[in-house]
Amino acid sequence: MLQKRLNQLKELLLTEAALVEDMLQKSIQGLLGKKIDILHEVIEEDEPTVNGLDIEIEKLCTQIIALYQPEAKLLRTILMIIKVNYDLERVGDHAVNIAQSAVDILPYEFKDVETIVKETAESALNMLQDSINAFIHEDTSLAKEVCERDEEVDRLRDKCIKKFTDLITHHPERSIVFAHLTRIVRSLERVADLATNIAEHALFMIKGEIIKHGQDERL
Amino acid sequence: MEDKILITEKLYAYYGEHCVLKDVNLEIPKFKITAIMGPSGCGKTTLLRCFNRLHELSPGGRIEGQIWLGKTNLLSLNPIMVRRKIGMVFQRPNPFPTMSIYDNVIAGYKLNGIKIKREEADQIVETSLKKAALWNEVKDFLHRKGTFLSGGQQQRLCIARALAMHPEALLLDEPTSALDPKSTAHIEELIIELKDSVTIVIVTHNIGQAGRVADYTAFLYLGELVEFGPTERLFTAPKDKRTEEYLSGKFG
Amino acid sequence: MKEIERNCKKRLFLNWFVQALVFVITGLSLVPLFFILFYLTKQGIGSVNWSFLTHLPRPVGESGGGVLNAIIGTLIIASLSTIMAIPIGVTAGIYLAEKKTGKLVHLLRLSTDILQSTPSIVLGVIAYLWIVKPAQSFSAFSGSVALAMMMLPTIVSSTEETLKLIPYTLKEASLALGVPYYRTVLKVILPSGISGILTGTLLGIARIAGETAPLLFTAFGSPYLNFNLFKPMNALPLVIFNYASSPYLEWWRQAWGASFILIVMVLCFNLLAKWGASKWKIKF
Repeated sequence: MLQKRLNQLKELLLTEAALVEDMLQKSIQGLLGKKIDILHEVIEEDEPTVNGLDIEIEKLCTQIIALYQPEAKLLRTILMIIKVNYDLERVGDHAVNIAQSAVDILPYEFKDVETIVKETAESALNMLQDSINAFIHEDTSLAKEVCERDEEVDRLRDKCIKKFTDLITHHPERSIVFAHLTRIVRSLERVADLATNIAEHALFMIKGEIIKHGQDERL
Repeated sequence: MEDKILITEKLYAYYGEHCVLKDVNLEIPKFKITAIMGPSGCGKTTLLRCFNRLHELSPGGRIEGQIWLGKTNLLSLNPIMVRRKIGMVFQRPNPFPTMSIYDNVIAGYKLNGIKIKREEADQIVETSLKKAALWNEVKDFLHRKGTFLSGGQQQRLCIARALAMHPEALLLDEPTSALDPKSTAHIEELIIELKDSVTIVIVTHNIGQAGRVADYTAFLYLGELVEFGPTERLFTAPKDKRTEEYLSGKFG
Repeated sequence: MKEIERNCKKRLFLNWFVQALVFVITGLSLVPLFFILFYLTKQGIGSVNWSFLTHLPRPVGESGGGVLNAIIGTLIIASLSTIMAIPIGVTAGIYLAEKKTGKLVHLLRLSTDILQSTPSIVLGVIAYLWIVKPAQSFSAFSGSVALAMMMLPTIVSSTEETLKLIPYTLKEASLALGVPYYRTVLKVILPSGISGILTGTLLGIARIAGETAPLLFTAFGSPYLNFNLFKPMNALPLVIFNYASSPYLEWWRQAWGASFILIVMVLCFNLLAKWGASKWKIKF
């Protein structure tokens, strides 16, 4: 019974993670490739699905805690799944934000910053994928590596925003594009933060170590 | 709608003048595990004993209301026939001390004087012990006394003894309260495996046990059925305040 | 501090003293027993030999002669009374253990207690009035009836006590399998209590084997080897009584021998009961 429920929970979490990754990928693709269909797909179809999964996972976690009073590793796993679930749902929200901005700036060109936006997006996406893999496969070293990569995305975001500000000063008529791009880059940076959180959750789940907020202590 | 196997209607149970169950209306679904929980003295064991009419044997024990076994009125049947259709396992393992493991399993036939062929008896013993997950442990000394087994094994022997009669329902009265955690886990696994072939009603004062094994849970308090529903629902969002308080350890 | 230390010493001494006292008194209680056994063996063993065990009594003056008829008589009378007492005693014991309360239970318990404390000679007189007088003849049968009455309370109470110790859960287990009540009692309760019942019976036999008084008016005694239950029959206690109260030295010697045999028999039954109690003990 417990095993059945745990398997079900893992399956749901994997589905959610895959879907959220997909959403992020699609909104970036839609942004760079000017594909309106997939952007609408993200906003109108994927987002409600993620919300449904989020509720489902939360319910299952509550049931497992209520019915089996898990302890030790199992307790940490369930608690961290609850947190990862929350983080993934937030990633989904950011993907929707990106998609919405992408729809708004669809008619405009921004070839001059495409590369750096793509770079930021890719490293955020990589972090997300790696953090989820670290969580699922309980890979400590990968999780630690993800945590360290957070600063890289921060750096990229700063670089982007600096570039956007420069361009706005020179081409005030394009400010709407850069305002949206700023929003997108901020979202990507938030995704990277959430990926870092997931990696931290993975570490706590595996070893019971809290390394959040720069602290490193055992529970 | 699932099939119901045991249904009580306006069931009242008494010990002499003392009323132990008040207006219990409960429908126990077929091939599911239903847990009856509640604080000590809430009448959960009495309710269980009403189902196989063992309650009538206690001094001053009597019931009012209706109990249905499927479509038949359980109270109109001969209690002896009821007990052959509904098996029971008790708090303390109680194999017959004078009988071997083999004889314990077919005790329901032997004691009732039901004649069965030797091969048939062998078959019943083997399948029942296999169902009770005891066969591998005892197959080499079936003719030793049942009381040589450990507590957990004895309890599984008692389950096998009840299963040998091919009951429609199996009543378990706190079957693990006298056992260590490991045997308890073993019995719980067994109970879950059994539900495909027999309806199980288990009385427990261990909330965790109800959570782990039961599909449905009934909460009894002071002889009243406070709440009945799917275990997940009852455990995560009880409708009645008393259930909530019991689950959070306020009483019991 | 000193106060406490002194107190402690006093208590330790008291403890030692009481222990020693108990030990000595226990030892004292064993003295008569060992004395009896020792004296009986010393006096009796000399007259016990193969011919003593296998020959019939001879008239006074003739040397030799044995107590074969008495040994066989004791065995027959004791067996017969056991056969009579067991069904009645066990049934009454089951009733007491199962019913527990009620008018009949109260009456039964009271009469068992009274029977237990009735002097054995009174039981002999009753058997005489019931059987010997109407039949116009002393008989082994009447002796067995008297002894059966003596055994009855032992069997009733040992059955009751044993069955009371059987866990109620065992009965429930049987009833829950749909076994009718009477079958539950016969096939589950009784077999589980068999060790206690048998032990009680053996102790009862040991008790009646040495009874003389009830036999004086009933079995009466006889110098012949007799297998007819409705004729007078000899028994060891009767031999001892008759020979010991006779004026002949040879018979006195034989009385010692018979006493020795009797006490060995009783001892055997006691040991058998003890051994049986542990051997047949049923683990719940």
